[in-house]
Amino acid sequence: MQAELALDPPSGLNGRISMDLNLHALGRLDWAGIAAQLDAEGYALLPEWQVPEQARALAGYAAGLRRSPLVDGKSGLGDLHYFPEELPAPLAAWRAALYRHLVPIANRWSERLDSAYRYPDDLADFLLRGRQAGQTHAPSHLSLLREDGYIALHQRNAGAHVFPLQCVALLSEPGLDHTGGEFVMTEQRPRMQSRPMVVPLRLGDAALIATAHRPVRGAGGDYRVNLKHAVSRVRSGVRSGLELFFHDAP
Amino acid sequence: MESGNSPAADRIDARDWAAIALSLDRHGNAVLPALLDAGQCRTLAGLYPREDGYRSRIVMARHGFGRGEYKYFSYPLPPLVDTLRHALYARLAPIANRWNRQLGIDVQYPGALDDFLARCHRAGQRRPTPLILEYGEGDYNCLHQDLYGEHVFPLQTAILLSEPGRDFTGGEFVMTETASGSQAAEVVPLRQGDALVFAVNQRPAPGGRTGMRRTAMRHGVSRLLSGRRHTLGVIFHDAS
Repeated sequence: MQAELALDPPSGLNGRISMDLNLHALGRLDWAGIAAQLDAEGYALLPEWQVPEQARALAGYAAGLRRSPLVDGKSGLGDLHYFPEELPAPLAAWRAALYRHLVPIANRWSERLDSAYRYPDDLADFLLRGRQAGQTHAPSHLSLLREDGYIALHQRNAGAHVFPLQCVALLSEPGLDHTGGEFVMTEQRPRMQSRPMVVPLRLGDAALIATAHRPVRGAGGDYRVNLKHAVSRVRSGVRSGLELFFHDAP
Repeated sequence: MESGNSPAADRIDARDWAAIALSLDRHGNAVLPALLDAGQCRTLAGLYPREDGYRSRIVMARHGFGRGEYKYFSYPLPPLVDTLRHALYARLAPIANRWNRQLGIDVQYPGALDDFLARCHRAGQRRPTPLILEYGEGDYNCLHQDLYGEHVFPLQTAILLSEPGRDFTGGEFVMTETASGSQAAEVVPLRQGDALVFAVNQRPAPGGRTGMRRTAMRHGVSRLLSGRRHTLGVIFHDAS
């Protein structure tokens, strides 16, 4: 599916932004491998999610979105640009299709964590559950970080209806558009030191990451670890990124 | 104790220490690019498999520290390690003293490493802390602080002995900085021979109502995706 974003293009861009959100390609991914990587590491790469031009075009889309500055010393330094409740149509379609592939993983994690929560097969049903419980704020956003910009370690898991996986993507090229700005995760385990992770993203790559919690197999069975993610200080240039959620915030 | 006139010590003295102090003040870390050449890195990394010259070997998985292993040198340290430790300390002691004053910590460090080590040794911290770490594929180091007793020098150094991209992939050096209600994470890009000076535990950081706040630093290494990675760690306080 070659689709076009349906909102007004941001200033400085001519015409509409086209994104290659091939839903058939999504079906051809190695989902057993992705599930295994998520189980092992808490993240799984989706390399070359977008070709470079389309990734850059998506980054440029930030100019047309609601800007929310990060707070230095608290949440970070830079700007988040929030998508409206209704995502641009092609992104919405891709998210709904991706969700279907992730539900079995999410439900298995729920089982392993002894949670009775089960996720419905359809994203619209899950989002409706959230809305009925007062989760009405869409957290998906683009981020724009300039030199010295960063995003502090965080997790967005407020509310009763939280999907345990989310998607992130890098929309600028390390080494060319920016240096620094690595995507970092930490994994806190009970009574142990935290494990740092660096997700090796390149321009147009996406990754599935644990939103906040995941099960880890231990000697005495599964236990729950707590994950956060951050963007390391941008050393030069401008870094653009995407965070895409399957749940809304209260 | 040869400090001040060996080539390695001269190379340390020749660095822009005002810029290093500024980077330490702003970020809690500072890189000294290419402090060691490739030959020195290979020689030090080549010490790792040897049986002699070490006081202990730690397999990280046994302690829940991560995956991989490291060895603490015994005294006397290899001459290059000893030179680096002395020359770096002499440059870092004034910064450490300023940090302590800024943090309201009533400890000042003597100008020479031997005097500081004498203080450690009198308090029972007699075991040397310089070490070499070895990571293979899949190995990582959890976020931690290298504290070994009452006496703590607030800065330490890590020197990457392997070349990223060629000798290994993954294995980034990661630091976290925790202040009240906020935690940042930073990857410090290093190449073979680069020395990283960084805060051991607490540091005065810009920000807060008074323009300065106390933050807690931790460091670790992300999982190696391939290859082998060696690091020399130069910690200035000894261990009890």
